[in-house]
Amino acid sequence: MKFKLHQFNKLRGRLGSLSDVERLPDFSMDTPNIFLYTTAGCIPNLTYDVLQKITTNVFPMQYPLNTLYRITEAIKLYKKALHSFVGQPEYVSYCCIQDPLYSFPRRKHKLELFTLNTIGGIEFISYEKYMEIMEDFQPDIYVSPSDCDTSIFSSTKRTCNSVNITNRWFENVYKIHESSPILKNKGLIAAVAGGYDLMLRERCAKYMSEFPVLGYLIDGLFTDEIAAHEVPIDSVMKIISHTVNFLPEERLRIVHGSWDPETVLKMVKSGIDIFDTSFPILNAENGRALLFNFDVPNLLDDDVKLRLHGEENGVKEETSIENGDSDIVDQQGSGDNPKKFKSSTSANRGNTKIKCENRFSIALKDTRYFDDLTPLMENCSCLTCEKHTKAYIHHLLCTNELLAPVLLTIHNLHHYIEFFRKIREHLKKQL
Amino acid sequence: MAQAAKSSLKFTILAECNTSLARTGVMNLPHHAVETPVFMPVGTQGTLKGILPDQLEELGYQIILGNTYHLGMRPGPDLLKKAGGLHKFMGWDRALLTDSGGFQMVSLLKLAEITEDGVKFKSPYGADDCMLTPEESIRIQNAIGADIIMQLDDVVESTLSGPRVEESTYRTSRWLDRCLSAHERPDDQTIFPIVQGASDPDLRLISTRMHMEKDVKGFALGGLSGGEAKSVFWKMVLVSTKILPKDKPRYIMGVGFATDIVICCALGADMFDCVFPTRTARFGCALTASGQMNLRQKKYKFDFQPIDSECECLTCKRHTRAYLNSIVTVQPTACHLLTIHNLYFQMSLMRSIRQSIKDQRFPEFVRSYMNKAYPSGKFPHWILKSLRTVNIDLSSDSKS
Repeated sequence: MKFKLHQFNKLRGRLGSLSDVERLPDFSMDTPNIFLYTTAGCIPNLTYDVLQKITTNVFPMQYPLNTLYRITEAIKLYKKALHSFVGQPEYVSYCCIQDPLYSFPRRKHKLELFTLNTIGGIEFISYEKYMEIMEDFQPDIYVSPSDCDTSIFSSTKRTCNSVNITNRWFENVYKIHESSPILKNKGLIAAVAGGYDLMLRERCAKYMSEFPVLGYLIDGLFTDEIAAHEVPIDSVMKIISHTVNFLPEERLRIVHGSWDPETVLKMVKSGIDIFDTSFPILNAENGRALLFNFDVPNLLDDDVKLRLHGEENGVKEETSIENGDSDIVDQQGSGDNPKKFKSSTSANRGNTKIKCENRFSIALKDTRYFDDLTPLMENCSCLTCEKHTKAYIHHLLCTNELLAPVLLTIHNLHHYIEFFRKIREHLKKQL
Repeated sequence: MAQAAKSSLKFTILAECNTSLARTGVMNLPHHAVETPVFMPVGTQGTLKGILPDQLEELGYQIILGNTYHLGMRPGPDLLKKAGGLHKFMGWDRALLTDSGGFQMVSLLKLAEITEDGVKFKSPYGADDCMLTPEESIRIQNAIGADIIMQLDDVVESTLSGPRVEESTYRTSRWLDRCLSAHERPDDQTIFPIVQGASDPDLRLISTRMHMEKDVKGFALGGLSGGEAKSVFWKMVLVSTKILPKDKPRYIMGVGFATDIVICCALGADMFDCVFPTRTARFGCALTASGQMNLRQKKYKFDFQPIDSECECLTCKRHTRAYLNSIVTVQPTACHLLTIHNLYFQMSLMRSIRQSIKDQRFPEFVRSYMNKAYPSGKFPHWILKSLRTVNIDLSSDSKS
C-alpha cells in the first residue's frame, strides 16, 4: 500500500494517489477522495449490484469494528479476510474502530482498554486483542488501536489521558504490526488523539510522526454525544490546521465523520486527503437529498458559500415536514408491512437519533414535493435523477417504503463522489 | 381472423402438457409480453419493497402488481393521472396489474360494510366515510393505468357457507357489468372478472359460467388461499379451469407458495401473485427447494455456505449464511438481499415450469419438485389426489 503526494501547498491543499495494494494490483485512487462508509459490513440500503449502478470505481470501504464485533468469531473460523466475509472482496478494506454515525449514551472508561459500542452492548478491548482481530480481518488498511473517545465536551484531564494512553499503546502496536506476517504489508494508519487541545494534539502528532506509517487519522474530534456536523466549524478547523503542521507531508491524512461540505472544503485546503461518506448516508437515512451546487468557479475560495441547486431561481428550503417525523423505515400503516422490522437504521445505532437538518440538502417529505414531477436535480446523471421524481420519493417517504432511502443513497453518494471529482479538478488548476 | 388494430391483451398458447392441464404461453400486453405461467410479485404502494425497477427487470420480471386501495389513498388518482399513470410515476416500463381494492377493504378494515351499491368504509387517513363502488374502483384503476385491471368483487371468507355466499356470487356478476360499462380505457387496459363462490363448487360453477358469457380476455379466481382446507382449494380451482375457454389466461389470486403454484399449473392456471416471497424476506427467511430457511437462527452463525449452493442469484453468489445471519432484520440491506434471492427463487421456479411444459416433461418436473419438497416421500393427501386427477402419479415408479 502506497500513498504518493503529487503536489501540495500548505494553504490550498494537496493532490496525491493511493495505490499498490498487494491484493488488488489494479487499484489506484486520486486524492482528495472518499472511503465508502459501511456499517455491519454493508453500505446502508445498498446491495452490491446497486452500488455498481452508482459507480464502478473501486473506492476503499470503511469498516468500523464496533459494527462488526459480533462476527469476529465467525471471521476467525472462516479464515478468509473480512472483505470476503462481507462479500466485497473487490474493494480495498479499511478497518477503523468507531462508526462515525453510531449513537449511544455516555459510558465509563476502563484503564488500558478502549470502549467499543457494539450492537450487543459495550465491549472493553485491549490493544493486543484488537491486533489479533486485525490479523483475522486482514484489512488492506487499518487504524491503530487508540483511546480517541473524546469530543469538544471532554475535560482536559480526559483528553490528556487519551493522548498518554494512545501514545503508550502505539509503540507496542507498531512492534506487533512489524512482526506480524499478516499485518506488516498492510497499511497502518496511526490515530492522532488530543481532542480540542492544541498542545495535546501537537504532542500526539509529533510522537506519531516518528513512525513510518502509511498515514494518520486525526481522531477524537467528535463522539456519539455530538455528531461531526454539529461541531462548530471554527473549533474543528483550528485543531485540524494545527495538527497537520506536525505530520509528515508525504503521508496520508484521514478525517472521519459527517462534516458538511463547506467544512470538507476547509479541511481539504488544510491538507486532509481522505473523508468518509457518512454525511451523504446520514442525509439519505433522514429522507434528505444533497443538492448543494459545487459547480462554482470559486469552490476553493475562503469565503465560498455553497447554495442549493435552483436556489438562485428563488426556491428556498424550509424545514417544515408534515407529520413531523422523518423516521423513514418505520413500518406502520400498510397491511403489507411487517411490524417486526426494526424501526429505523438510526435507532439501530442506539437510542439517540442523529438528526441532520442542514442547508445543503432538501427534506423530500415536505408536502411541497407531493406533486413535483421533476427529478431531484436537473442535469444529474445518477439513476435516481434519470428515472425518478421528487413526487415519487415524497410518496415513498410518506408510505415508509424501503425504496426511499435506496433512491436517496444512490443520488447522495453520486453527488458526493462528483463533489470530490470537482475538488480535485480545482486543485489541479490552483496548485 | 382479422388482426385487431390494437389489443389490450393477446394470449397465445405455445405448448400444452400431454398429461395434465398445464400450458405455457405468451400474454401480449400494451407495455410488455408476459410469459406464462407467471408469478407476479406485489408492489403494493408503487414500489417493490426496496427493489429498483431496474433490478426487477434484471431478475426477469415482466409484470408486477399494484394495490388499488393503497394507491387510491396515497398518492391518489389525481397525482397518478398527472404523472401519466403508475408506470411513469414509479419508473416501471413493463406490464402492471392492479387489484380492485375490494379485498384490502374487507381484510384490512373490519368496519367495512358491503351493500349492493359498493363497499362502505372509514378512511384510515381521515374521519369521513368512503364508498368504493365498482365504478369508483374502475375510475381509480383507469387513472393508475395498469395493463390488467380487476373488477370489484364481493369478497367473502372462503370458509363461509350459506346465503351470504350465494349473494356474493351473484352480486359479483352484477358488479362485473357495472365495471365493464364504467371502463374508459378498453384499448389499453383489460378487465378480468373474478370467480367467487367460496368453497361451494356449484356456486363456483355458476359464477364461472356467468363470467364466460361476458366479453372479457381473461379470468381470475378469487376468494381462494384464504384459510380453506387444501383439499377444498384445489377442487375449487379445477371447477373453473376445467370449463374456462382454453384461449384465455386464468389467474389464481393470492396464491404464491411454490407447491401451490406447481399444483395450480397442473390444473391449468396461468397467473399467480402473493406477498409471501417478499414479506418473508423482510422477516429474514429465504426460500429454497426444500422449504424456508430462517436466517435469524443461531445455527447459521458459522455456516459459510450460500443460502443455496446451486442458486445463481446475486445474493448466493456473494454472501454466506453466516454473514446474512449477522445482518438480517437489523440492516435494510439484508432485507434487500433476501428479497432478491426470493424473487430469483420464484422466477426460476416459473422458468422451470414453462420449460418443462415446452419439453413435454412437466410430469417429471412435478415429481422431481415434490421429491425435493418432501424428501421423506410422504406427500400430503391433497397433493397426491389433485395431481392424480390430472394424470400425474407421484408414485409412478412403483405402479402406473
